[in-house]
Amino acid sequence: MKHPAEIQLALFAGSDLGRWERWRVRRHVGRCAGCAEEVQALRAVGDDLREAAGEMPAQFTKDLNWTRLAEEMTANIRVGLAAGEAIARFDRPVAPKKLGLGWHAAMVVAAACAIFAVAFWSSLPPQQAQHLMASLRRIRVERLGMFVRSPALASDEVVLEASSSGIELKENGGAMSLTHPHAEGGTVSVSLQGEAGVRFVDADTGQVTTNKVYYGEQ
Amino acid sequence: MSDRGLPSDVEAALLASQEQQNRFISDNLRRIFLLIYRIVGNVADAQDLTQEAFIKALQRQDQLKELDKATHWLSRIASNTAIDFLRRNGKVNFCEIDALVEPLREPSESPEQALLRSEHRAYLEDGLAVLTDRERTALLLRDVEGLPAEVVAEQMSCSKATVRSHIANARIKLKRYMDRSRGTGKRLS
Repeated sequence: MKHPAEIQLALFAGSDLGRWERWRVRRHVGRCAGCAEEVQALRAVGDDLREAAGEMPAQFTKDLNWTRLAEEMTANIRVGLAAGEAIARFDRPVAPKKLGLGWHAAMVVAAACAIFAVAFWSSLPPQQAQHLMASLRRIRVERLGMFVRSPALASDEVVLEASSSGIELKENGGAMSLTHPHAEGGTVSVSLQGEAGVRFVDADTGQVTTNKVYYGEQ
Repeated sequence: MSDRGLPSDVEAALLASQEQQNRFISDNLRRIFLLIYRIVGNVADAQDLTQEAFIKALQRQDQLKELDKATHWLSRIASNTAIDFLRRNGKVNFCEIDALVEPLREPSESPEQALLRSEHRAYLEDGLAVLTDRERTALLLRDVEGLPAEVVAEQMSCSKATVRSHIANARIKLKRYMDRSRGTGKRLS
């Protein structure tokens, strides 16, 4: 009689054979006392192992204080969990902070601005207030740094224009221009008080010329 | 408000959760420690890996509805942690197959002495130490944890055939060791 290999018996003992092989080995073991005994012994070792799994190994009882070790491990687990939570909280993306200005605060700020504007306006001398009003109405910036003018003006109004080629004063259809033909691109400055200036650098001599025109009401 | 500045219902929920975690740890600590110890073979590593396994498990506890039913889940995390450790340290290639050789170590005591001192289980532990890491891991996962061979293969990242070979070798070597310790060694013809 040909016995199954020892490996097959070991697998049979733990129900780890495929269906066909299991049937074949079972048939043999049913008729062979030696193999049946071998399978029984293999199963007994497995049973012993399962039974012993929950027990402390014998050498531990001498060298190891399980209670102390268990307490130490429990404490370390708690520390590990707390550390993990802290790290997770630290790594969590922070929601972008909203500006702390609510409706109420915005309204208070707007009201304060309005009160300030009214107080400023009412504290101005009448002449200055009129002048400021006229200037605000008149001046419109079309091309920043290049050109300042008011496009629609009454014929009796004075226009002070500054461009990169010079300064021009217009009044009642007449104009007075101050230009510098040899200059390469002047620097223009205009102020709300009725002042215009152009700063030229002469291309040939390198000389700097500054022209300023002031407009003042009599 | 609690001492920690939390609303009392949140504080109560936190305490209940901690209480549940503590119970989960105390109920399973010994079993998991022994499983890992038997895979890695020393107390210091087993202690570190046990802690690591519990921390991993409890950090993922939201994946589990009831902690009380988590024993298999925890065993799997524990054995994976131990297997990863052995692999990481280059100690084991789980997919190599060992030759089926006679255990080299002889039992240190006679069976009579062992019986007298009720140390049958010490022989068993000794017998486990005779196995290679891959054989011992496969045997513990299959015969002690009761995982099917396919699952053991998955955990050890090996084919099912390789794992079956580890399991069979381990059973045979352990039985031979135990036979010798009882002085009743015999071989099949």
